[in-house]
Amino acid sequence: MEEERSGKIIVHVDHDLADLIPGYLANRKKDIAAIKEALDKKDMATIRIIGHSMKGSGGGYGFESITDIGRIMEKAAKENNSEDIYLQMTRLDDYLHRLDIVYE
Amino acid sequence: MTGPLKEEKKVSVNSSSGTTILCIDDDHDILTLLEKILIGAGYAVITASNGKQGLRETLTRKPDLILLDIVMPDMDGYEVCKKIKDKEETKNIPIIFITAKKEDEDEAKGLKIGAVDYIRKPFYPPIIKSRIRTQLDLKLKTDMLERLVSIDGLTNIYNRRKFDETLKLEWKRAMRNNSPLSLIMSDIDHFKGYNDHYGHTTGDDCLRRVSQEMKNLLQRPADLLARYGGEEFAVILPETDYNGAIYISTILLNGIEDLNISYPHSPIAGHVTISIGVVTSIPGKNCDTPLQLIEIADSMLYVAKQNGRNQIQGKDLSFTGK
Repeated sequence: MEEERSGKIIVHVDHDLADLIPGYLANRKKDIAAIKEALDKKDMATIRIIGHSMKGSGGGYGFESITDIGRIMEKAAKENNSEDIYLQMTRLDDYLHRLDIVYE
Repeated sequence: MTGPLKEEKKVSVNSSSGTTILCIDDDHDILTLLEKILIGAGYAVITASNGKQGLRETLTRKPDLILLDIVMPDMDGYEVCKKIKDKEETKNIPIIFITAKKEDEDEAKGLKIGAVDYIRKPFYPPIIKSRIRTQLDLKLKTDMLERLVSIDGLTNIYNRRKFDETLKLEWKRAMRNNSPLSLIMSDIDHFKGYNDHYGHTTGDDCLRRVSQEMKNLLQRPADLLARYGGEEFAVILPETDYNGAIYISTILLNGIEDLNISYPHSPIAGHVTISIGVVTSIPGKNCDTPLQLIEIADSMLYVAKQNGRNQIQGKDLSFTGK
C-alpha cells in the first residue's frame, strides 16, 4: 500500500522482507545509471529488459509504483520512445528519494 | 542493470517439509524474493539463473516442483518446460510458470505444453504459497495413486503393469547407453501341489514370504522385482552383465532355500524352492524387443524346470551377434 504525505511516499511493506529491501532498492538505483547509459547509446533492448524486470519484481516486494514504472518503460523501449523512458527514469529517481518505508 | 543474472547456483537446504522447489529465473531480485518466501514456508530451495542451468538442476536434484520464468535469454521458459516434459525421469515434476507476460495466449501456451499453473508477476506472496501448496498436494495424491496401481495387492511388490512399463524404459535406456540388460524369471517349484495340500491361505502366505525375501535380497535401487503372474516373479537388472545376473540369481535361489518354508510333500526338497531362468543382452544389438527378452528368460526357466527344478539356467546374448 502506498500513500503520499508531506512530500513523502509512504509504503507499507511486510516485515518478513525487511532484510531484502535495502538491497532491492540499491539495485533500482543501479538501474537508473544503467538506463541513462543505455539511453545515450539508444540501446532499447537493455532498457526493455530492465523495464520488464522492474515490472515483474516491484509489486512482489510491495512497491507497486516500481511495477508501474517498469511496465511503462518496457512499452516505451519497445516503441523506441526515448522521451517516455526519460520521464519514467526521472519518476523512479524521485520515487526512490521520497520513499519512506513502514514495516508491518 | 542489476536484475538479470549471470549463471549462479544456490541451494538452501533448511527445509522442514522435506520438499524441494527449484526456481528458475534470470532476475536476481525475483530469485531472492522467492527464496525468502519459500524458505519461510518450510521448503528447501534451489535457484538457477538460466534455462540450461535449470535443466541440469532438474535432472540432478529431481525437485518436487519447479517455478519457471518465461522471458530469459538463450533458452526461454517454454523451451525449458518442453525439455523437462520430454524426459521420462522428469516429466511428472509439476511446473508453475511465474512470469510478467500477462496475455491470455501466453498462459494458454504455457498450460498447453504441460505447466500446471501460471502466476503473473508481480506476485503476492500468500497467493504464491497457496498455489504451490495446492499443486504439491495434488502431486502427492497422484503419486499415491500411481503407486497403488503399480503394486500387487497380495505380495506388496510391484505388479505386472509396473514390470511392463519399467522393462520398456530400461530397454530404451540400455539401447541409448549400449549397456547390458538382464532379466530373471523365477517360479516357485510345484506351487500348485503346495496350494492343493496346504490350502490357499497358506499358499498366499508362501507367496508373500518368498516375494518379501526376494525383495530383501535385492540390494540395488535400480533392480526391479515384480510379481509376473501367479507364482512367477521377474527381476529387471539394468546395467548388469551375465556374470552379475547369475550372481544375483544364485543369491535368490539360496535365499529362498534358506527361508526353509516347510514343504514335506515337495518332490524336490523338504522345503519351498524356486527355479530361475536368466538372460542377458545388449538391447537392439542381439535382442530385438523386450518381449523377446521375456521369451528367452521364460524358455530358460522352462529348461531349469525340465532339468529337475531348484536351479538356474541362463543365456548370455551379450557376446553373440544378432
